[in-house]
Amino acid sequence: MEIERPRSLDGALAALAAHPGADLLAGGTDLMVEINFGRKRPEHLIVVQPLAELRDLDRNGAVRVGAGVTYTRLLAEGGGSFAAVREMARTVGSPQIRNAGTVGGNLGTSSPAGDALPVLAAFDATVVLRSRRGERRIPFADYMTGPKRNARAPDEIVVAAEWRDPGPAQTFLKVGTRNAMVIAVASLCLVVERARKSVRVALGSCGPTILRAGEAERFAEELIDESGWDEPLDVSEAAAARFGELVAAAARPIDDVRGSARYRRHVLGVMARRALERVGSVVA
Amino acid sequence: MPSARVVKNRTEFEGKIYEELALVQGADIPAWSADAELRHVGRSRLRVDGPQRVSGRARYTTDLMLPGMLHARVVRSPHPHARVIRVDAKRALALAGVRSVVDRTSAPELFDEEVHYVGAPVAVVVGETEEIAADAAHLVEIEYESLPFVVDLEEAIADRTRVQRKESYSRGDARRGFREADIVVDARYTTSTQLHNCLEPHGAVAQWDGERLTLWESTQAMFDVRKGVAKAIRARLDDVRVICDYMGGGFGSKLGHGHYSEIAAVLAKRLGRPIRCVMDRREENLVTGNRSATVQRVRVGATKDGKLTALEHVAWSGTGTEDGWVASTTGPSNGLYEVANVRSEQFLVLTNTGPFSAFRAPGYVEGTFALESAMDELADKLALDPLALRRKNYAKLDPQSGKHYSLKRLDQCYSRGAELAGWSRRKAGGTAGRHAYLRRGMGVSTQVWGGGGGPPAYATIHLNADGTAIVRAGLQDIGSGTKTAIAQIAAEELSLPLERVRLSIGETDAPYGPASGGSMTTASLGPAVRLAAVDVRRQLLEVAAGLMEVRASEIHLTDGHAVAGRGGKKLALDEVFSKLQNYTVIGRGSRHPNPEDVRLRSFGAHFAEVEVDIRTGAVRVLKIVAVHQIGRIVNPLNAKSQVEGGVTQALGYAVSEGRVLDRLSGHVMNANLEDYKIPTVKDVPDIVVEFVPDLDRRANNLGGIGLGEPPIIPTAAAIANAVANACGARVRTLPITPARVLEALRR
Amino acid sequence: MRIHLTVNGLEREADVWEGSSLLTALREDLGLPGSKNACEQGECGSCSVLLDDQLLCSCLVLAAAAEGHRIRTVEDLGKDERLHPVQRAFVDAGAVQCGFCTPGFIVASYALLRDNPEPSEAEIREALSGNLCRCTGYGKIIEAVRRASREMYR
Repeated sequence: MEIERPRSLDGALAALAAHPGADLLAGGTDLMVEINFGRKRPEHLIVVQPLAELRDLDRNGAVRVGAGVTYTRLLAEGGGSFAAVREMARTVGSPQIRNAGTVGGNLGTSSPAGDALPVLAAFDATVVLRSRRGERRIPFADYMTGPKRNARAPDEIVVAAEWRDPGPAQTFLKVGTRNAMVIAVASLCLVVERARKSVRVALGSCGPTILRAGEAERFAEELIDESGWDEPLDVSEAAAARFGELVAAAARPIDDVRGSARYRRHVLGVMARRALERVGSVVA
Repeated sequence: MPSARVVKNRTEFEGKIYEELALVQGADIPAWSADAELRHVGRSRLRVDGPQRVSGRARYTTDLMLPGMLHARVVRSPHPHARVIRVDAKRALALAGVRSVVDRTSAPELFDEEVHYVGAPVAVVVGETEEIAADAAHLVEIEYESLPFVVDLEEAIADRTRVQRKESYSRGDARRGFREADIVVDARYTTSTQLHNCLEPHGAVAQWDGERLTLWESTQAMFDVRKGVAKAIRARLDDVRVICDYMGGGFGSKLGHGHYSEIAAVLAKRLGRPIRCVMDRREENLVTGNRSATVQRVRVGATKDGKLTALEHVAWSGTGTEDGWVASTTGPSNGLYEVANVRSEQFLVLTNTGPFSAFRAPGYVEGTFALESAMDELADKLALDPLALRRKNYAKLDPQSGKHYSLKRLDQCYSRGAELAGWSRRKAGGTAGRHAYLRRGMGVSTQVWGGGGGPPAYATIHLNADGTAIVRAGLQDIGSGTKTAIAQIAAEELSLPLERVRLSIGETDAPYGPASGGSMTTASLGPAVRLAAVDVRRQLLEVAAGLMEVRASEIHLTDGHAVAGRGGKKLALDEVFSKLQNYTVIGRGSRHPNPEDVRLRSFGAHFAEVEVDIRTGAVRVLKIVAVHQIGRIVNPLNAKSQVEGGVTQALGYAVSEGRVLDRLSGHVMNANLEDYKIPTVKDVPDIVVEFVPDLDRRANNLGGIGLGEPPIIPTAAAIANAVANACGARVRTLPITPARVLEALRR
Repeated sequence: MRIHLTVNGLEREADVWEGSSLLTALREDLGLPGSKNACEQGECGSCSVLLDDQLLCSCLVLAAAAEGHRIRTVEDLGKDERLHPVQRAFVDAGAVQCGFCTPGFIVASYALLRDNPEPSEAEIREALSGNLCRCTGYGKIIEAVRRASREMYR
């Protein structure tokens, strides 16, 4: 095992160019477990965690979150158009894990249970990748291609996620099997971007990748079309139920150690209703 | 020196009664009376070894790094049932730093030809470091012949060859009792396999010096480890010294020696270097024991006014590959209520999964869930308050033996618990929460357990010339605080400040001491320590009498002085000690047998309040009230902490814990702390603990019995009953997951 | 590989395997077994240390990547025989049973009280939610943190 500890992003990219496919060590919450358990013995390992270039967090206009930004830092941000981000960050692991884990790590691992990913999906985020060959910007929907699979090339490093501020009508919900240190049984992020008349719902832990509930999104958009995009939405019982059904129908869950497909589908419906009730009333 | 004699004794251990012969010396003394002015016993004292534990200075077995020490990793079967055809260690041996690989051919005493569960040992790799050994373990190539297997308990029950009838009990005529019943509840309950997950893993470090083996082991029973290892390696008892200074939790899973102990002992001898063999978290979850999953059928019959007429309890416990014994799942049904007609049967069911072991109140936890859930189902049908139903069938005498109890204050546990829980707020059908989808409810459940302890247990106390004392006993402190309790007992009887009493424990070159299990450590050893202190005091008085030139019978010890008669001569003990110089006063004490004419049992009641989200099925436990009766409490602070801890393990058992098996591969799917969910600080509700203040005078010379297990026994049923009260969802399967709540709501 | 670590104010050297966690380096190479190894996946918090004042699980830190950072372990909190107020409070509140999880709780509680002198109960629970205890049931641990807060900031 060869360890590289570059001092700059350029150094890291050079090391990666020399050893394409080398493992990148960010917060360590995934990779170190693999090493500790003897499941992985990387030939080359590049430590990217301390790189200053990955730690920018910019919320002026377009949002840019560097890959090395930890969940603790996200939690320290104000709410408003970061409400869902904060809600998500609060559910990540524990203080120790939030101090270590990064958005880039979630993107790198690309687990369907990665907490940040439904938020990035609902925010229509762009994933910024860099290599010695240059920079690539990929919509999140094209970035994550399957469970632990993504579009990152072997010589690329995820440097940031970027998105357009969608306004404050947003929420993140997660169901787990205990109150801390829990991987999502199912999670959901809902954004109502009133300025663009757009509703977006993304589902975590409910399929091979992060799923968008397109029909539910269109259904909610029609609801808000009727009530007005500048007005709070008073969700009727029937509409909330329909929205829940459409979200549940978009899931492609499996049975696993954390929960059954049936329960996942059911609880997504419940979360969707609650999310719509919560977010519908938020008007900037 | 008092002469020794052999006595017969009955001890209840882990729900079963054992009759044994024991050697005792002298005569016992009565328990301290209720109004005795005690300075240490009955008072909250801080842990004598607290500073070591909080500073990181306490050394656990897993912390031991001896010079020249090698590390052993076990290569384990990925198959639930297979024959080992061939082990090829060539690639493993080629790895730098690997010292040895042994398998069945080279160490037949350590391995079997057939493996019966995923995780069964097949070979051992010894390396210079843990990582080298672990990497080499992956390189050992093993050829298996797969054999048929069953890992699912229900599937195994259907296969008669896997089921053994282990215990049955009856009194009266159950059939007649059910004919006499106006109402019968007949329900089937299932519980999951609970994994101990002690934070310190199981393990041992072995070092040989000539013919003598020193074995450091994380154990609840040093003497059983010594016996087991000595037998396995064909050594004499004095050739094996077991040391357990600090240990990080056992909960029943560290009662005997482990395969790791034998590996360390055997390979340390072969290789001439110390060997460390410590399990990792995955191994903890695969091979170091568990609480049996159960399937139980409970039938309860009662008259319209709630008097039980018959009770039938049949339990099937999945013991994995352990075919020797089964936990007493039907114990609570046999002995808790006054019911004339009882029939119970207990079956052991073999599956191709890791062997079960004792786990804090084995059997009683599982059985109480079923029995106390059924009692509430009965109360519902009778439209009776659940607490009233329990009081109606209260057993004043032990229903099994017909004897009186040495102490039974369960009625007070019920009343005080009801008061603390606000039971009068409970409404049939539950109450409303903050939102329409939130429902609140309350439930109660009862605990019965043994824990009286008994012989053999011995202690000696050496009194030094400066008035300090050393208590020497074969005791290991698993974290419950026994060490502190023992020091308090000795200090009390010796009239010494606590800091003048030092304990020399944690190794087997000492008088025999009991296992730290069965809620019996303090109740077994404490009385022996007290007698040893009495013996020291008697000798000290004789010396003082000589110096004071009075008869020993005329003086007594008080406030650090020997005082003759009323207002007579006074001699400071310090002066006595200084005159003694290098003389050592040695006191001896042994545990005397339990009384024959009464039954020693502890009782308690738990009350749970929950909130159920009827849309997601999530259960939030808001509060647990735990009231227990064990007689005298030696250390209230540590006792409360014991109860809180027991309740918390029970909470996990009730709502989040359970081993998940893949039926097709036989693999454990959650053999780690990420997916096996033990409660975190954010899951634990307010836990209110109280003890009924009374003495168990007849139990032993302390006036109290054990508390280790009682607090884990009734909680799960109290929670299940509260959930049913809240929203009508009767969940008969543990853990009570959201999916199961929803399923029960749909019924 | 040879690494240089700054542990508890001292410059230390260790020969470690490249993939070693900081936890392994502390326990096996630097003679500091106060940080405990109980899960190796950041779930139990028994190995909690401070790295540049940040609370982390040392099992998730690559030892080689800890070069150039200040590391503090439980051994550094109480000097010699004198216990830190957080440690004292754990003893006084009866927050210790087997003690195996305790060093991790001590470090996490220390980190909490350093940043938040008077935490609410909810804040205490949040701050300790990365530490598992299998014995005590947490109630007395929460009490210990409250006691330590009073002791340190009264």
